[in-house]
Amino acid sequence: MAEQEHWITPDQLQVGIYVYLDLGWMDHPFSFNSFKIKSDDQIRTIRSLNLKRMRWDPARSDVQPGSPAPAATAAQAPAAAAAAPDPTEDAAAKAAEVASIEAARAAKQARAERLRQNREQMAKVQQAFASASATVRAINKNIFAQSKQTIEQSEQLILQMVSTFLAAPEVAIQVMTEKPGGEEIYLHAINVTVLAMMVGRELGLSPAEMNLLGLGCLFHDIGLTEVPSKILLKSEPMTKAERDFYEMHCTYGRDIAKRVGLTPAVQNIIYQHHEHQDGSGFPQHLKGEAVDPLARIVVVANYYDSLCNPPNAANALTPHEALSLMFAQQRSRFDAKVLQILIRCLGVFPPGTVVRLSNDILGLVISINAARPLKPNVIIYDPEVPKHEAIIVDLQEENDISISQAIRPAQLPRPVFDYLSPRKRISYYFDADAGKQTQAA
Amino acid sequence: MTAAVDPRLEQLLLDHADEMLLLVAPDTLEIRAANRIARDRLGYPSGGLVGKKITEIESALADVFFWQDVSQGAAGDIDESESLYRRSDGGLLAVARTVRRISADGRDWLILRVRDIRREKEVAADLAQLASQLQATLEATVDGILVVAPDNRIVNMNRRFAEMWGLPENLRFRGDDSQVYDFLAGKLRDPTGYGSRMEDIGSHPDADSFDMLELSDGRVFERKSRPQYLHDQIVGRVFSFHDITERVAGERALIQARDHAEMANRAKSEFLAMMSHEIRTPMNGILGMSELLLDTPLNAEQREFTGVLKSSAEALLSIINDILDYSKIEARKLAVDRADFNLHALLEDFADLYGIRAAEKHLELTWQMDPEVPALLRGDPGRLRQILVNLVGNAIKFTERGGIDLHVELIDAWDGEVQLRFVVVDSGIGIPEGALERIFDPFEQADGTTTRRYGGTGLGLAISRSLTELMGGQIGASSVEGNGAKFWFTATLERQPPSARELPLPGEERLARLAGTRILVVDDRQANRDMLERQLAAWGFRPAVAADAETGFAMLKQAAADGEPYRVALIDKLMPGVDGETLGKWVRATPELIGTALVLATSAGERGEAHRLAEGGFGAYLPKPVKRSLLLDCLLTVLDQDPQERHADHAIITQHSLADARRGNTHLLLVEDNPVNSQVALAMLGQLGYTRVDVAENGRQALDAVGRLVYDLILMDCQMPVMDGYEATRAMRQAGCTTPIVALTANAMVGDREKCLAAGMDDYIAKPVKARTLADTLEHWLGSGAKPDDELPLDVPAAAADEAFDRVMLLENLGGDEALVAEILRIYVATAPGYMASLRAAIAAADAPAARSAAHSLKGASANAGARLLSATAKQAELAAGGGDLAAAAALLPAVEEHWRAFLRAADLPGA
Repeated sequence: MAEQEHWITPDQLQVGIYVYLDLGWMDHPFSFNSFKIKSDDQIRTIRSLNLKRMRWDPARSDVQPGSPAPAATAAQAPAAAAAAPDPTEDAAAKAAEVASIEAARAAKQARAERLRQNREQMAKVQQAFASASATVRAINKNIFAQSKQTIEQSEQLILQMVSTFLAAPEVAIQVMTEKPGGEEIYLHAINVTVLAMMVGRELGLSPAEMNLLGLGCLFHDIGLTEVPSKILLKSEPMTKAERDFYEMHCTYGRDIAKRVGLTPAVQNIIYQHHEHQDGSGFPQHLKGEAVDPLARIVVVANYYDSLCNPPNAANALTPHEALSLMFAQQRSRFDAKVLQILIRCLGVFPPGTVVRLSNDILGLVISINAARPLKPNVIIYDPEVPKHEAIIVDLQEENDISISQAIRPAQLPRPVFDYLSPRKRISYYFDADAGKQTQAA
Repeated sequence: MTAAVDPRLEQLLLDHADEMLLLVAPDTLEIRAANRIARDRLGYPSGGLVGKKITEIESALADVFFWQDVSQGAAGDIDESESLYRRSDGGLLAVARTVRRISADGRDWLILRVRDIRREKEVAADLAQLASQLQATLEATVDGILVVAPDNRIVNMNRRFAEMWGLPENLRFRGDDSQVYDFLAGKLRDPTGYGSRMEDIGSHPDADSFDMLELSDGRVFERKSRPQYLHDQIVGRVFSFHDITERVAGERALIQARDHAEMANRAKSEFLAMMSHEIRTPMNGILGMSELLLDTPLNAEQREFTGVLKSSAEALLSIINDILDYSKIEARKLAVDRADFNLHALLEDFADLYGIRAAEKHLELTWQMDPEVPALLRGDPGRLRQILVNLVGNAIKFTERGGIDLHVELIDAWDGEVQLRFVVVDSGIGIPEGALERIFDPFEQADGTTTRRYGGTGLGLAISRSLTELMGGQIGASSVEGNGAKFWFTATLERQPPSARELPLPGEERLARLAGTRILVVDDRQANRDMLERQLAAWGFRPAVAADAETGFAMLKQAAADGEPYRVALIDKLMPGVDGETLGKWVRATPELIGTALVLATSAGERGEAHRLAEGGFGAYLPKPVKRSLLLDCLLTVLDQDPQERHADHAIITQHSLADARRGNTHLLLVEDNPVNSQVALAMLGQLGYTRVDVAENGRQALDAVGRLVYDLILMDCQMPVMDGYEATRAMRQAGCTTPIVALTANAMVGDREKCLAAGMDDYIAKPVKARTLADTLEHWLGSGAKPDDELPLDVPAAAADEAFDRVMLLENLGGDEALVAEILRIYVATAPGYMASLRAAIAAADAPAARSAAHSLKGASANAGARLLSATAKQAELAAGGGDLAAAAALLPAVEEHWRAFLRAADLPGA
């Protein structure tokens, strides 16, 4: 609840004061309702809002407020300005004021426009994801019955994705928030494919290598069809026998891949997608260089997604926690370069992480541009704004605002949780038009 | 500048600094120097740290980007940012580090100052844990909680609070306090008081508060608050709100229900009371009228029909009473009385009546009350009798042969109270075992056929059960089908306080002389033997029992041989095998047993038996059930007799002779001024056996008589000259006379009774006196005597009321004694003219009281002499004169003359 409140009047505003605007988002042109004043322009804009008084945070301000104007003319700065004896100065001030009001209005509109575009773009990505999911579903269903067609379909899909990936100047990874058809779509294969491709792109793989990588990702867990789902869906830890059975899925996968006619390179990926650099993987306990380079990529992507989306959703780590774990404590298992690249692509707070911004606002990281991983797009929680019109803030544009910490969804107050709706299962897809948006501003 | 810097001392500083210090080359990212604490903490005490890349140590995700930037030439100054440092053993340290780029000797270096923040993080984690626990606790309570600071600023609230009040979200998370308070106040039915109440609470920071808040939507909240203390300082106040709407509604509903129930209960009581009255009134009408009808002249057929009418009405009334009682039980409105009564007298009367009923079915009813049972009790005799009627009535109903025995015993006694058990045993058809449980339930009889065969409402036992329970007792039954039944009930009754004294039976003083006399009881029924044995022992005799004639006879002979003969043998007439009469013959045939007087007890008496028995040698003959007083009288009388004389005169003692003897001994005083009236009365009394009657002509004479002698009863006329009955009675009572006084009054109007009683009289008989009434009244006041004798003159239905001379009535009244009739007439003719003359004179002298008195005397005398017409006229004159209307009285004089002459003619007397 509200802590000790401090109030100032508009005439006390100074650059460096951290101020709260108790207005709806659309009622002012600023990205946030609370921020540190950067410029006189901002001061003028705030004054034009005609607030009698506003809250400020001494702890976050650099300066003290100015002294209030004398009682008679305390109310409004414009009025005070109007009472000034010098007509020319007065007019100039007035003109400047009008200009800034206009600028503010224009800025507001531009912002609204940008938001709308953002949304449109996001919707497009969700569509692409939906259709890719449909394809992959079909593949899973038909792989044994109509192997040849299915393989062809898969190759088509991967081809498409690869070309889009490699053609795009910038790629962003976006978290899926909508639930088309009302259900959560989560396909591990898609997640792994998207992540792996992103890494592969950064590594500078050739299109052919990217194709192999993609196919390998798509089919990496095909061997699980031979493992009883009883074992796979267990909530208690597996017994040794069950564990051994499970680990066989790499071998089964390779055999199936062979049977349906996938190339040996793809078979390899499937066979080795659980091998660790330090030999602690399975089934062969390979070490270091012995692991196929492409497989090494899949190992990292697969591991990361398994941490974020384990069979038992209660055990899920936040993307931030997953990445931290892999980097801080399990570094030895993974190819250092691959891991580094993954981190560089996902950022410190990967998409899907719930965060608290440096201005105390809560939000959900919705997409990360691999080129600027530390300045993601964040959906912020603002109870004044209806959920379906939630504000998306591009931290790239807000120099003063950064992410201060990641939050576990369970710690969120209920209304915030409902608003941001972090999903139990995090699904990714890529946005190949990422670079083009920023030009609109 | 002047002082030399000692590198060793500087090293000392470095080595003992608390912070870890690292020097990193920005181009290679290698650690080039580290202080001791850094080496130690990171697990490289003896080296190995220097030369490692900083990226191997720094393990937070953000570090990846930072060092990337640094290696690409970014400035890289960071203030106090958190990171994770990897130790040599793979463990991680939580740290906060500051990075500064410096230049020295043309090279750039990065200085890292690193602080271990593990402790801080732990504390922060604990704090967070505590805070969330606190929040969880707040959210888990059922009440709404509001925490405010001393200045009423809102510090915290839980979700329940917001829900209860319907606080909108924006007010919850962002609103200012005054908005919140305004919102709350707006929800109240009476918002105005809210603010001042809050101030009130605020002005007593260390006090608890309690309020009931009524909301405009009808809900009611209970609001309590307590101050919040931190180290004895008040730092705020916690309000808790509890929704008591349901509880309040519940309370209201309860109160309503209770009021409703009370109303219903009252209505029930009123209904029952009204119904009782409404039903009984017409019933009484029917019964009363049928009785009155029976008193009027009816032919035999009409009499029979009326008799049936009356008994049907009685039966109906009994059923109605049952039903009303049952309704009262159901409505819990049955209550028992608390009155003084004599249990022994109650049982005797009861046994009298039901003995007859039993005898009608050739059954024997015996009863006994143990001597320990006190007779003078306080309780509800009516209800007690009701239970006995029910049980004994049932016993008689369901018994075809044998008998019914009623036994009253004392179970327990304590301060002022006794617990008695009443047992009724019969030899009837019994009750099947399965039915025993049900019979006390209402509407139950042993089986359906029982109702058809034996009748009854099925409520009797249920009512009896409720009554016994009201009397603090229980009821029960046991039976073997076909072999009789035993019904018992207990009751707790109070003893009358010691001042009440049971009048001693006359004659008991004489018992002292006869203590130890041997008496033999011969009776086939155990119950009878026990009862008699106990009673005889209680009187001081030495009883013994025999179950049949042979044994009895043997015992008699033995005792005589032993020199201690039985002086009386009390023999039951009806015994299986040898009956009582035969035994009597045996005894009389045995010379040694001449000293044994024989008393026969029989439940089925026959006319003319007395004579036969007297021939058979029986000295006395008593009906069963034997009344205690009668038994005692009989024994005393018999024991008084000389054995030789006894047999000589063949005069058998019967209940009647005993009663006669008693009556003959009774000394009465008749106070009556009118000679005709007194003659009539004397004649009647003589007929009834009362031969010792003194006559006083007025109250004064009566007073004198009472002063000299003690009378057993006084018959007092009310209207007399010199001193009337009332005055005389008052005087007698004042003088301490306790003799029963019965008024004889011609004025049988309402108010007269009260007047008599107020004067101190005990009872009254209306004139003209009827023999039966006189007999009953005397018996009542002189103690139990015999059953009314059939030979007593019945009250013959009167002839037409306006006969000039009703000879028939006169004759009947005087017991058919013609001589007496003539005497009465003689007296009447001699005195009546005098009354008439006085009347004329009084009217002429306008003396109303005198006229009334004369008319009164004329009326009475004429009635007693059978001159009914004249009596009626005289009555009218009396009323007129009594009302002061002498003219009317005068107007009647010719009629008086006329009716007098008519009488003379009808009586065939001269002077008509």
